[in-house]
Amino acid sequence: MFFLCAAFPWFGMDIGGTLVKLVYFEPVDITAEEEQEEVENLKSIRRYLTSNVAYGKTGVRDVHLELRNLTMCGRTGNLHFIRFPTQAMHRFIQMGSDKNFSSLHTTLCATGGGAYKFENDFRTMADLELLKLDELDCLIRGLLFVDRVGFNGHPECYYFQNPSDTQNCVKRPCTLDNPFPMLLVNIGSGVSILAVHSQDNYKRVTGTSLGGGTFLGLCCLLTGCETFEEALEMASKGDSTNVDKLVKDIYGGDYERFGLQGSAVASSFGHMMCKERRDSISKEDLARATLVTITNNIGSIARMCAVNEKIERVVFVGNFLRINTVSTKLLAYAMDFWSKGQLKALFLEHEGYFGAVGALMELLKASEDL
Amino acid sequence: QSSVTYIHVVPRTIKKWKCNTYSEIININMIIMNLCVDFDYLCFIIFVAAFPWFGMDIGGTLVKLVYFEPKDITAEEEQEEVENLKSIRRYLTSNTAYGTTGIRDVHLELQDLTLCGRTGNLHFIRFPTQDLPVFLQMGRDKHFSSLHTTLCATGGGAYKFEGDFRTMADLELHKLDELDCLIRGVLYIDSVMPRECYYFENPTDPERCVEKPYPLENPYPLLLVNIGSGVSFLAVYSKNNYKRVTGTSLGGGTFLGLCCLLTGCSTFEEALEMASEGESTRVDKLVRDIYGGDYERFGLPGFAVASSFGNMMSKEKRESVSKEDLARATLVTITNNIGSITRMCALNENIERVVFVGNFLRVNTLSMKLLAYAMDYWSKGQLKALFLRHEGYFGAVGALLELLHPSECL
Repeated sequence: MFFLCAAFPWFGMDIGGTLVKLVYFEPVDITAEEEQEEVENLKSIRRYLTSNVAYGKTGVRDVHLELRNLTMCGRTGNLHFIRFPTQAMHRFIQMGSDKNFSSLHTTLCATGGGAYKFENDFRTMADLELLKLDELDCLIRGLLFVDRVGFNGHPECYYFQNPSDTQNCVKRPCTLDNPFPMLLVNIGSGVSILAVHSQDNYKRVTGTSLGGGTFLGLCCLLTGCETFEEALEMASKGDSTNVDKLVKDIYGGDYERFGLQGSAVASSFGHMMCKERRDSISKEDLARATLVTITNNIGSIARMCAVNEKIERVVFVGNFLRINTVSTKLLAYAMDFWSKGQLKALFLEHEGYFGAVGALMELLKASEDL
Repeated sequence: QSSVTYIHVVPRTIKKWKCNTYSEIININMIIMNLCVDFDYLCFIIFVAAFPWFGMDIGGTLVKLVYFEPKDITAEEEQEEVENLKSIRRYLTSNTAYGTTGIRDVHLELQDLTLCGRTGNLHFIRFPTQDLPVFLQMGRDKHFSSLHTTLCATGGGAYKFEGDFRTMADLELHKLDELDCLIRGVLYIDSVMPRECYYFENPTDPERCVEKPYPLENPYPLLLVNIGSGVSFLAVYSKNNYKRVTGTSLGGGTFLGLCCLLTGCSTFEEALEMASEGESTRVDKLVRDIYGGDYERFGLPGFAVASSFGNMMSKEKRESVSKEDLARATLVTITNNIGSITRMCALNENIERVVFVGNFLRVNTLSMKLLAYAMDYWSKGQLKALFLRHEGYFGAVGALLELLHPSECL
């Protein structure tokens, strides 16, 4: 059998508003002959990427997400998941230039807004031509692929059973067999909501600018934190009900007529117009309130779209959900509660990497059916 | 007391009852209706609530009070008038500020209004819900309860503070649903005020942007967006047929709360002042910041906001923005989120006309214009954003109307 495939190295890149997501396929079936012929900088790239888990000051390889012994385009190898802030893009391009990446004559498939924004920088700084791909096309393609191949023998997809019960809320695996139709909510710096009827038939229903970037930006301003991890750490310890005005704060109880429980938030940050309250809350409370506000707003909009599009399955992806169990559980709860069990919230382990995977697959187009 | 007058056409008798409580009024009306049915009489019932006529809406942030000042008081009536009723009337109409935080919006006064056979002026007063105890104390000091008048109140506070009204001022509240009152108030005011409803022509062009009146005849179906501390979205199909489509907790209270935290301001007016001087594009991450231009595939122009406050994760950018920029970004974020959800509701419900009310829009032309623009732009001209002059007072007006024309009667 003869496969017409792209030359190594195989990368897929998704240059988002906040993070660059990079997937790298490390072949493990290299023959002795192939190894001998391999050019030096290709070898050095492979060694650099696979023998480190951190790159520079801000690059991280998510080892726990590595897909091992994957077959792509007739080759067997490991798929690695790497991320670094988009702010460090120029340093990355410089590195590509230093390592003479362009001499490898490989196509660099890139998606995300940055594929357009940095196209010229790639060309002028590193003599690299980007093959620009649409981020939502790549997202869907990447998602379906990873769900199909599975996560090292385990399911990629999961949901929460008993989301409304904090004691008994448990994570359960599932698969996306017969995935269509699905509502796909991609929570990055901003949010896109897609109604997907088949791999090639989807529409962007709407979006919201109140996304992961809003959570992090507001948290940095309100609490003085600097990173996503710090913000989540603070949020995990705070109590948002000190910050938000609840229905019971206005009604003295439930607003029964319209089925609004006393514990529902009537006005996010609504207590903060009062000086005594401002002086009595902690940074952790503010971080929690920011997280809850942004998450619930996304949940609310997702629900409206699901109802409008008549879709019952809502899949949430994007790096806002990375290590963010508070939000994933909140979303699971909100979908379940407000729809009285009609809607199901699903999540995927590789969260924010699907765009990059989709870009890699575009590179390997010939192998799509394998 | 309130009184119910009952007139038989045949055999031409007039009976009058005086009632002390709202439930007595309802009971009498039931008796009359039964009599009519039993004896096949034609009759007219005239129901007149006793003065003073108030409608009250106790919201999450503000209490809205409407007061009807009669101008057609006869000499006889004036002589019979009890002292504290006269003093209440004088206090309310000769001041425009009450205590440290109460305000009468004189520019909203409706003059020479005819209500329930009386002619007078309708006054619009507001004060922070935080100061309700002061108001109750005043009601107690002026022996309001001795007037035996029904106090019709709506809003969450009608439920929350019911006990306080009773114990602090010996007043019984007749509690009404806030959304019922809102719709009733909107329809009434629009019917008596020809220029109540308006829209913006050329909302984004500062040179050419102009307010134009919009006659709300045949108003149905209507999407009514009430932006108070929080937001409710109502699809109104007829006077008595509406549903609460959804709501959002990101409302006026969020704008003010976040502004106070981010800028150190303390009032709504200060927050708006700052916002008017700021530039939100320094704070927000736009589509062009991510794409280098438009995201053409999905029709997103470069100037659209991709991530609100998205630039604020960068320390340098945080240090380079002003308080005014932050206030502006907060306003724009909250307003656009409401606009976005509104659009989805309008689409779901198949409604083209959207009316925005609520005190978030008070003295807030920035948000109104933003909403007007957003509705028009994102719907490609399909949706029209409408506004009403009496913004946040409709619940209180609806409560007053319930006092004068109880919906349970006939």
